[in-house]
Amino acid sequence: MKLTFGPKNRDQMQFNMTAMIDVVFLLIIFFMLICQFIVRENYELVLPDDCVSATVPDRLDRNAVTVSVVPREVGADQGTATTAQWNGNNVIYAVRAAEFDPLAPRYRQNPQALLRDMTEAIQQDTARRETALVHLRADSNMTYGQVQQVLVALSQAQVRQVQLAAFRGEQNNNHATGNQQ
Amino acid sequence: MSIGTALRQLHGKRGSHKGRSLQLQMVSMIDVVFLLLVFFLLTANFRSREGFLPAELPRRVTRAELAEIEPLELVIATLGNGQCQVSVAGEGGFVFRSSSDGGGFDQLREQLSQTLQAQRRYTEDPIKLMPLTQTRWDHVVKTYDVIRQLDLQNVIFAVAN
Repeated sequence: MKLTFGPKNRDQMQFNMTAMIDVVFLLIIFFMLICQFIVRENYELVLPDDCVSATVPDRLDRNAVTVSVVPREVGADQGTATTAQWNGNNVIYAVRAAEFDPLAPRYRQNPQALLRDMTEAIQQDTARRETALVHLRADSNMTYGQVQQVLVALSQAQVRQVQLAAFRGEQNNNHATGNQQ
Repeated sequence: MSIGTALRQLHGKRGSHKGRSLQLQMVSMIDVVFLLLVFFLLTANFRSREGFLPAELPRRVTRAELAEIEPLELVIATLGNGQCQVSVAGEGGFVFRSSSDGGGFDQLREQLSQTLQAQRRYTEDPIKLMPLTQTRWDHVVKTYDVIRQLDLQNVIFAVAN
């Protein structure tokens, strides 16, 4: 008797690699381009906690522009800044994912340019949305002098609706980090 | 060959062809789905649900408008030992100091409420927050939270020099 392992069986064993590799590479490229922006927009910081009147929305407003005030990482590159400059500017501002470093040479030479650039960035971002709403996420260890730069920029960009990020209860040492939406 | 037989043969051919083209490549799809699952599990960086304190930045106002009602001024400072100090001048004025761990703001709410009553102020009357440049943002937000609890809406953030 002759057993038939014909072409039919060989067809079933065929593995379609081409399509799969195509899709996997597409996904890799997609995430490499997109995910960086999502993660960078949400900085790790310690928000003020124990704020009884803070309301927790069911969903974050997608029209809101997030402006962050985050401490510069400990041990970060000091560049050519002097110690006095470093101590006064241990902060990074971010309008969504666009960072503004007060120690950048451009802003050290012309401090007014920092405020002007932040104002322009806020104006550009809010102009694309239905409502000019800003979520201000500032680290609780920042000083008012550092945060007020953002308040002035918001005022100059004619943004009136601001929501200050804070925890309703105690934070329990869990830092606010990247938000995957 | 009759027309009926020809049509049946044609239909049969089409049917079998259709069946083959509709075959789903489940293996590759599951591979990709698992890859995505692993990717998200490894890269996800979850954040606690944050709350928000709504604030309204004032539009540009003229001096005449500002002079209508004198705002109640709250000077906020962070002391060397980490305490928050809030001082209010005028009738019923007080100096509040938080505990060194930043607590005790309930007392500020009570003191501020008494001052508002002593000065016969309404909830729509302006409140001016005057934090110093070196005041911690945490203390500014907690003081603002107390103001929100008292239902005071008209809050101005002063620019520190």
